[in-house]
Amino acid sequence: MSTPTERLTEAWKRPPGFVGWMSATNHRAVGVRYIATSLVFFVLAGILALLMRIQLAQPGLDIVPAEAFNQFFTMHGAVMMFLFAIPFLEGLGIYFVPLMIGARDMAFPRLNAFGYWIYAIGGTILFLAFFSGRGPDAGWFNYPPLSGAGYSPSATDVSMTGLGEFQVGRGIDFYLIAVTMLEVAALVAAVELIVTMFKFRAPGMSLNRMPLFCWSSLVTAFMIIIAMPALMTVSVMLELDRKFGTTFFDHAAGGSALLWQHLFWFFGHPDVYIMLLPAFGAVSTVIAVAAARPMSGYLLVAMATVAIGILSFGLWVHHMYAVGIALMGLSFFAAASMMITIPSGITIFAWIATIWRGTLKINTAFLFCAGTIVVFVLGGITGVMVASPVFDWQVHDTYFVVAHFHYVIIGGVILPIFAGLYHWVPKITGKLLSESLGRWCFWLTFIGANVTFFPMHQLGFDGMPRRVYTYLPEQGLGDLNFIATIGAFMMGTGALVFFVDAARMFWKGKPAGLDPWDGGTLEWAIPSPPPDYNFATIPVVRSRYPLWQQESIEPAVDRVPEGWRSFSDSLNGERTTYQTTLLEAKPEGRAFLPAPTLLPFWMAVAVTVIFAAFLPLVGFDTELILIPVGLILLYICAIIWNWPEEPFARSEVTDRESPGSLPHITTGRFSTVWWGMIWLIVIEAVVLGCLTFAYFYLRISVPSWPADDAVLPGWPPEGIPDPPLMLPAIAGGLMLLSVLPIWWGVRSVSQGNRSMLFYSLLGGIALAIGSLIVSAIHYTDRPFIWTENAYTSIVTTRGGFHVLHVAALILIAVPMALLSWRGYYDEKRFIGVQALSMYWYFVVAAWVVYFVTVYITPNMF
Amino acid sequence: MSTRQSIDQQTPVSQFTIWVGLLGAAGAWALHLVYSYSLVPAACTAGMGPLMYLGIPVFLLLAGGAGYLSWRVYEASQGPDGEPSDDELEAMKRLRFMALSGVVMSAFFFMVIIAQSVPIIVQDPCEAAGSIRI
Repeated sequence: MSTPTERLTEAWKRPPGFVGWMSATNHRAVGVRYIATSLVFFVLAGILALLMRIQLAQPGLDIVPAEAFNQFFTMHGAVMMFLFAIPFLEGLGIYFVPLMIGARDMAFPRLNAFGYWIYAIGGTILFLAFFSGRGPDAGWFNYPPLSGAGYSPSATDVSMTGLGEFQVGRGIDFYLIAVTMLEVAALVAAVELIVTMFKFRAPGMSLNRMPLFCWSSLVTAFMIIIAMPALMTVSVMLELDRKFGTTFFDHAAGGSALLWQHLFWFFGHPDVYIMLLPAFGAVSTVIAVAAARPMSGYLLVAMATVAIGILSFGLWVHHMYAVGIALMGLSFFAAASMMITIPSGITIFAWIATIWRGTLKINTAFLFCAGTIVVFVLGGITGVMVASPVFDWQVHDTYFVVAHFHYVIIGGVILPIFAGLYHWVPKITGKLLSESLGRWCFWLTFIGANVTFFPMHQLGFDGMPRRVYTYLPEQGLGDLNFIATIGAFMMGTGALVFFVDAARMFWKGKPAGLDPWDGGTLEWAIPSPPPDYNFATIPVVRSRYPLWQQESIEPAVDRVPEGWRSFSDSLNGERTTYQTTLLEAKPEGRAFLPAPTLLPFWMAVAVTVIFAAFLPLVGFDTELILIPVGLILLYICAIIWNWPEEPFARSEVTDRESPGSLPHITTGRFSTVWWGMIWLIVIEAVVLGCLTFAYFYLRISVPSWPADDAVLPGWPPEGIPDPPLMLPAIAGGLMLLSVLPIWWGVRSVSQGNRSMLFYSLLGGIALAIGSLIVSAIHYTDRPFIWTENAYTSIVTTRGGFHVLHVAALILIAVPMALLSWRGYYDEKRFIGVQALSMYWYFVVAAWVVYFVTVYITPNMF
Repeated sequence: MSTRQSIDQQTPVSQFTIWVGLLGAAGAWALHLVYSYSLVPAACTAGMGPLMYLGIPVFLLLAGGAGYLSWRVYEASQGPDGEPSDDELEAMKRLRFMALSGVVMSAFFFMVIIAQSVPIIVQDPCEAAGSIRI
C-alpha cells in the first residue's frame, strides 16, 4: 500500500522522454526554461555588445561595418530588454512565487507553458532573422518614419560586408512580429502571476505577510498588463502601415510619427520599472537573509513598489523632450520624473537600514546587492539630471544618456539578477555555486561596469552621439572609448566566470541542503530541488518570515484550517492546491490543476503560423494564406484544450468533495477562471484605450497636416462625408440586444435550467451573426479605402477590431452551445459560459466606445 | 459605538473604503496629469489657463480625501476595548496595514500633484520648445 507522499509523487510526476519534456507544465519546469533560455539570449546580446565595443575602441576602425553596427545595437537593446531581462525575471517569479506563497503550481499551468513556447519561438525567429542578415536596424524603439515602409522597405538591397550579408530594412518586420509574440508571452505570465498570488497563497498569508519579492512580482505583473498592450497595439499599427499601406505614421497622409513615440514610451518607460521592480524584490530578499533579520520598513518598501509602479506610467514624455512639445507639458513629466526618486530612495534606505541593524553575513549574493546600491544610485543621480528638459536637450542622444541608462539597468537589473542567481540557484539545482568564483564574478562585473560606463558620461559631454559606428581621430574620443572597451571585456569575463562556475556546480558542486543561507521564506522549507508537488503538506503562515518567526509551518493543533490534512494526499491521483481569499488568505476551496500536455506547444505553433504571414519570406501575397491556416489550427487547439473529458461525469465536481475537504470552486468570483478573464478583459481594454487615444491624437493633429499634400484638412478630411449612423447603429443595436440571451442563459444554468442555456447561446450567436452581416454591408458601402489617409486608416482599424471580436465571440460560443446541447453545463459547472458572458459584455461595451468615438463625435464637433 | 463594533459593522463598507483610500490619490494624480497636459495648447491659444488653476485644488482635494479615508480606517483599526481575540488581532493588523499604506500612498501622490502644479503657476503655457503640440 502506497504512502501519501508516494501518491503525491505519482500524481505530480512529469512524463518521461522527449515528449514528456515538451509537455511539461509544472511551474518549476517552465520557470527554469525561461531562466535558461533568457541566459542564452543574454550571452548572445553580450557578445554583440563586445563586438560593438571592439569597433569603437579606436577611431576610424572598420571591423563592424555601418549596416552591421545598426543591427548590432538594435538587437543588443531589444534582446536585453525583451528576450533577457523581462523573461528572466518572469521566469524567476514563475519558479519562486508559488514556492514563496506555499502553492503547488500556478493557476493556469498549461497557459504558463504556452507563454514559454511563444517566447522561445519569438526569440528564435528574431535571431534567425539576424543570423541571416535580416536583423532589425532602426534601434530598439524602432521610430517611424525610419522604421516605416518608406525608409525600411520589406524587400530592399542586399549589402555585402566583411561580416556577411546584411539586408537593410527587412528586419523591421521580424522585429515587430517577434516583439508582439514576446508581449503575448509576457502578458500570459503576468496574468498567471496575478491570479496565482491572488488565489493560491497559503492559508494565513494575508497581503501584509506576502514576501517582498512577491509584492514586486505582483506590481510588475499589473504593470505588464497595462503597459504591454500599448506596444502590441502600436506594433500592429506599424505592421499595417508596412504591409497593407495604412498611414498611421505617415505625416504626408495625415499620420503622426509622434503617435508611435507616445504609445511606445507609454509602454517603454514603465518597461524600465517592469525590469527594476522584481530585481528590487530579489535584492530585498537577499539583503534580509544576509542581514539575518526581517526587512526594515516592510510597509514602506511594499508601498514604494506600488507607488513606483503607478507613477512610472506618468513619465513617458521625458523620453520625448526633444520632439517639440510645449515646455509646460514637458515640465509635468519632469516633475513626476523627479518625484519617482522618493519611493526609489525609500527602498534603498530600507536596504541600508536592514544591513545596518542586522548581523551581516557577506556572501556573493550580498556583494551583488551592495554593488546594486552603488551603481543604481549613480544611475539615479544622472536620472534626476536628465529629468530636467533643459539639461536633457544638451545631452540628448549622446553617450551621456548611454551611460545613464546602463548605470540604471546594470545597477537595477543585472547586478540584482546575479544576486538572485547566487541566492536561489542552490534551491533550483540542489547544489551550491562557488563562493570564491562568485567573488571573482562580482568584482569583474562591478569594476568592469564602472570602467565601461563612467567614461561615457564624459564622452557624452564631449559630444559623441549614440549609435555611431565610428568617429574621427581629431575628435579626441579615442582614449575614453578604449578604456570603455577594456571595461566591457572585464564585464564579459565576469559573466564568463559565472557560467564556468555554473558548469562546475553541475559537475562537482556541494549539496545545498534545505536552506544553505538560513532564509526565512517558505521556499527554504522544502528540499533542494523541490519535489514536483512542492509542499507535501500545505503550510500555514502566521508571519512575514515563517521560518524565522514561527516554531512550525504547520497550524497550531486547535487552529487547523478546514480540509488542511486532505491536501497531504492524492487519493485519486488528482493535482490539488489551496484556494484562499484575496486579502486575508482564508481557505475557501481547492483547485484542481491539469496534467501535462503537448497542447501548449501546438497552440504556440498555431500562433506562430499566423504571425509568420507578416514575415518577409517569399512574398506577402503568398504568405497571407498562413493566416487562415494558423487560425484553423489555433481554433482546433483551443477546442481540444477546453473540451472536457467524456462522458461528462458529475463526479468531476461533486465526488471530489469528500468529508472534511474544501469545495471545488468552479464558478463565480472565487474561481481562478473568473480572475483570469478579468485580466484578459483589462488587457483588451488597454488595447481599446490605445486605439481610442490614437483616433483622437490623429484628429487633433489635423492642424499640423501639410497644406499642399494629398490629404485635405478636416475630420473626416474634405471629400469624405461624415460617417453615416444608420447601419452602424443597427449592427451595434443587434450586439446590444445579444446581451440579453447571454445574460439569461447564464442566469438560467446557474439556477439549474440547463436547456435554456442552449437556446440562449443560439440566440446570442444569431444576433451576433446578424450584427456581422450588417457591419459587412456598411463597410463595403463606404466611399473610401482604408489606406487613403490617417482618418480612413484609424476608422477602418477600429471597425476591424470590433468585427474580429464579434467573430471571436461566435467562434467561442459555437462549441459551448454544442457542449450545452450535450448537457455538460449545470448549476455547479458553468464557469466556461460565465467567462464567455463576461467577454461578451466587454465586446459590446467596446462597441459602444467605438460607435461614440467614430460615428458620434465627428457629427458633434 | 465601540471600535469593535465599528470594525465589524463597517466591514462591507471598509472593503470599498480601504481600496479607495489606497489607490484614490494615485487616481487623482493620473487625472490631474491628463487634465493639465491636454489643456496646455488650449491654455495658450484659447485662454483656458484658469481651468488649469482650477484643477489644482480639485485634484489635491481628491488626493487628500483618499488620505482622509485611509486615516479613518486607521483609527478604526486601533483595536477593540478590552482583550482582543487572536482573530481580532489578526484582522486589526491587516486593516492597519492597508490603512497605513493608504495614508502613505495618499501623502506621496498629494506631493506629486503639488510638484506637477508648480509649472502651471510659474510657467507660461505658450513657452514652447518648438511648437504647441502634445
